[in-house]
Amino acid sequence: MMKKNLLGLVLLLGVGSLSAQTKIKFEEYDLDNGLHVILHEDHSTPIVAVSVLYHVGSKNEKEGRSGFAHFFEHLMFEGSPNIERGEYMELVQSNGGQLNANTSFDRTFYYQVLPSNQLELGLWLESERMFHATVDMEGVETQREVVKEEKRLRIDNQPYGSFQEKMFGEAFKGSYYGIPPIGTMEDLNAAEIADFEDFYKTFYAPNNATLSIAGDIDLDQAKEWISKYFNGIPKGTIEIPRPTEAPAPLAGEVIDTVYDNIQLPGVFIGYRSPKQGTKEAYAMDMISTILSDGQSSRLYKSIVDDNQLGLVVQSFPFTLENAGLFITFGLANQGVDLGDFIKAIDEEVNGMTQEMISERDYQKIQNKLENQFVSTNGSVAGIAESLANYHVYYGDANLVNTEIKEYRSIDRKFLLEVAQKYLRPENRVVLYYLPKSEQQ
Amino acid sequence: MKRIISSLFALLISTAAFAQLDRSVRPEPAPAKEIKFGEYKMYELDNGLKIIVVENDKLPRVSFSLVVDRNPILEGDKAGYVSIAGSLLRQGTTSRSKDQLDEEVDFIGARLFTGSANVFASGLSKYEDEIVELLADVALNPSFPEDEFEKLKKQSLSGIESAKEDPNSLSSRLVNRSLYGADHPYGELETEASLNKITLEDCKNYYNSYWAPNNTYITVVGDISPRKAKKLIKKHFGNWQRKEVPSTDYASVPTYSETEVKIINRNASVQTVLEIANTIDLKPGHEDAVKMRLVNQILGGGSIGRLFKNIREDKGYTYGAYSSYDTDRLVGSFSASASVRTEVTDSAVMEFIKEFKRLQNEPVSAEELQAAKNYIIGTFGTSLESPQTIARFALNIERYGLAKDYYESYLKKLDALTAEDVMATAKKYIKADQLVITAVGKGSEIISDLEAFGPVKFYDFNGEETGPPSLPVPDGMTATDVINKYVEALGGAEALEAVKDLKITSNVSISGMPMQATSVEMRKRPNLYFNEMSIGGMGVVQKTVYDGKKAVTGGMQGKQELEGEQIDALKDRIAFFAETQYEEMGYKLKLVSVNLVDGEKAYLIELDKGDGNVSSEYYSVESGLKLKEEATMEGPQGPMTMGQTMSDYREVKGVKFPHSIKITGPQSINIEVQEVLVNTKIKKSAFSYE
Repeated sequence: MMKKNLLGLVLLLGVGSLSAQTKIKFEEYDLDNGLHVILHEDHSTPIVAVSVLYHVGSKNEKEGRSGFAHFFEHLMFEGSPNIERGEYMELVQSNGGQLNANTSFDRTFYYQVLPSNQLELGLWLESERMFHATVDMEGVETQREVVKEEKRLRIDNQPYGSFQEKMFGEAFKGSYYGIPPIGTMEDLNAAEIADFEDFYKTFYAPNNATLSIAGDIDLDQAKEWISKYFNGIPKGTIEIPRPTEAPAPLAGEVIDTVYDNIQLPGVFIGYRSPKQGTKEAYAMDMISTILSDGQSSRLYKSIVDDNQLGLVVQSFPFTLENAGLFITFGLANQGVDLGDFIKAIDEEVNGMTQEMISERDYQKIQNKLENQFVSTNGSVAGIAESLANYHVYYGDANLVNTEIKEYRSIDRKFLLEVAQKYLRPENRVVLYYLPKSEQQ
Repeated sequence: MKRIISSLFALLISTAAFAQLDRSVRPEPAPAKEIKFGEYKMYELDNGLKIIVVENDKLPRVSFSLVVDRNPILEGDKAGYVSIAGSLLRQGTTSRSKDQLDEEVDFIGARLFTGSANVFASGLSKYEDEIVELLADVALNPSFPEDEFEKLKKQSLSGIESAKEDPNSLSSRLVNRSLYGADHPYGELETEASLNKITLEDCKNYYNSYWAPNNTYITVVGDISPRKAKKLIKKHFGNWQRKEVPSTDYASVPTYSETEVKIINRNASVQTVLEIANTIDLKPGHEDAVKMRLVNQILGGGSIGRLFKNIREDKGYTYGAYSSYDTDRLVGSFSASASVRTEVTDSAVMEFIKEFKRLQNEPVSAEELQAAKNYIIGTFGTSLESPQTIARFALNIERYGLAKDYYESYLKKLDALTAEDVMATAKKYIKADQLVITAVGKGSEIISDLEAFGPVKFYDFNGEETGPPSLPVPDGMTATDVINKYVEALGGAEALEAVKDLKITSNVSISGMPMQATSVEMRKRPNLYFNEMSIGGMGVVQKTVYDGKKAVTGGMQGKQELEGEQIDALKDRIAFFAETQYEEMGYKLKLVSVNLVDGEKAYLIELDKGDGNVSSEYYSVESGLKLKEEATMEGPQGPMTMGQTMSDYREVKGVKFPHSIKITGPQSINIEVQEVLVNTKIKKSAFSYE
């Protein structure tokens, strides 16, 4: 008892002192061609992260061209008139840098982490990609195979791997979020060179991009190089198609069964939830913390620990630009009936809609969020990405310093209201995963 | 406001720098900055516990990592207990139940994990006291609750279940077993059986024997002063008593004299998880370690490596192909891997081996060498961004007795390496002709292609060898269909009916016998039979004849007449195209599965006459022809399996006959058919023993 009181006291002292230590300073501006630039200076290690975020993801794809944005990301390493095929990655790595990219429903993100004396190289490479990337048949054909292997590796060859396609397919049926970014084999095969050229002209324009740089830089020097390499890139002339209408709500609870090559039965439950950056979305994040972050969390304690119904249970709030999906995933233990398993999960989830969480639970969330918040800024690459995300999605890069206030402004009553609003059976998709051997 | 000012400012600069840009000019790097290694402080308490502290106040957080530096443990038939013991530490202490632990850890937003030889705790530095107190409690006062032990066992069993369908788990199990063997700690596999044997006592004994302050390190990283860290740790760990820990001898690991292929069949696979590996003798801190780092970088380090460029970027076989190596005090390993689509499995293996040999035999170009060095230096520099890296380096220096400047001089040593060093090191550590190639995938489709690389064996989840895999029978197919297809393949029912007599002359070689034998076999409808085997210089060595009434068999020691059941058995064996008469002969036929016979898909049919002996026959899915027969019989030393494979079918008078027959069993016999004569009007009188 004594110990608990002490903890409470420490907590009170702690709040508010979330120090200047973690404050991230940055500068931002636009070039004439619309490219948004964000710069963060940090000399602790002689490295620099150079990133470009293009505001295009799978939601911008045309019908019949699913997987296109991601396929395109692969193509964007094929070079330019000044960079031969295969040389792009080599130039970065042979100069001591690392690079990669990823594509989501809403954006495509490229980044390099370089020794800081190679900043100019990084800028030149990104500007070549933005200005005149090579888009040709040879690259398309090789990368088509690579992307298909990526799909096989991550999805087709993995137990439960089909859940993405099924879950998003049901939860966002008929909408631009209905097919995950990896796309379908059929559409990957159908992609043609004209589609790629068109896509490049439309979406890879400076006015659709954010250049975010963090690390050991000299601000004036960095700005000079940025202007040298990016100023001459013309603004895009095609209007950027950007769906903003929210996907239609579910007509009622959707339940489906998938027979897969698995040993343990599993379940995926997805509730349609608020879009990212809204107060309600922050609340869903907090609800997820209570449900499944840590061993004292409600789902873990009930399902895995006390009743030993499952091996794993995890909920995560998946938020997108125009919608959200609150997914809970669980693997049942051997011999446990999947019906009982889901019932036990539902009990905990429903608990969130029936009663306000305790004062102590509320403090626990705040402590956890603070730790998380501190940790995301542990690398220059992470900072560059956060700055770009906050700018593109919310128009406020400074959320990198202030987002935690959004969480702190949410009270227990609001958490209950949000849970009641979204955690309803009519608002969800339930996927049963059963071993193929049980298929009749 | 800030935004307006900075964009104004930017505009000024951009107009100043606006000039025609020659984009083909690649930027030159600015002068390289020195990579600075962080400092660490090291303390030792009276009980032998060592403390390493890396102070870094960039973020208000701190971590404590406790590592017990013990040797690997051979767990025997209870594989899994060491790992369960590690998890059990987190499940309750003498003063806190698991629920209390969970609640306290979560409440301060901290993390606390335990493993078989480690505990990790981290959180906000303002909670440093609480964090160390929790760390010490789980490390020093575990209560080993029985109910939590049972839960962990159950979870481990479920974990085993889910690993069975996970291609990567299967692959790593197969690799470990193949490289290190069942009697080495690195080659042991947890199984249902081994988990079920574990008792709570096993876990307690392990903890009591091996956890001691004199072989333990605690590394502290973050926003805390070294003195404060030491004080905190001394307060909670100072009374921990020294003790002797057991030492161990290890079995030697398997050696391979040639490359071998090991497969786990997974019918659901659309990709083959390939790993190509060998063990190496390379200890941490050895002078070759930095050379191997360079070799590995050039071969398969990231997307700059040759494997990636060749197998992914050039061929498009995979999403990623990489290599890796492990230095280890007992036995290390080299390994290259990729998940490739099923159809190109063998092509991918070929490219892997080609790249190994190229690295061993052709000097790497100056540019490629420099690029690889730059990459290593670059990642090294980047990794130092995290204070955890500095702590890891410090721990390695202390733990493996490395020179204090090991990491600082590492880059200098790297810089001095030459193309010759790369070739020599690749030759020394990559055993390109004694590799273990493991593959988890569709066995039936990859086996025949992989045979080119070495002998192929199949294994199950538990590391036990199995036969080649079987596949499900297509819907609607029956045993009768298979037999009908076989009859068609031979030439059709009419053609078979038309065969009235047969004479087959063959050369026979028997393993272990120097001379070749000649066999003459004659048959005449309805069921007359004559078979004589002779060896040049010795005359007839074996003879069996049935004239329709009497059956006589004999050899050089004389002859005997067969009776009753023996005659029945012989009649079954000599029936004209017996397959067409199975039903009349009283056999029940069952189509079991589709299996592989020398890489060819074949229907497996089981024949049962109700006398306890079941025999198997394999019919090619593609050609319909019979490929193999198999029967298990009671022999003098227990049951033995006899097999007979048929191949080289050739047509004689409209009917196909196998011209090559191999018999396997206690003795292997090769029969090469020299001549098949059909309907030569063999006289009845020819079927007599004399």
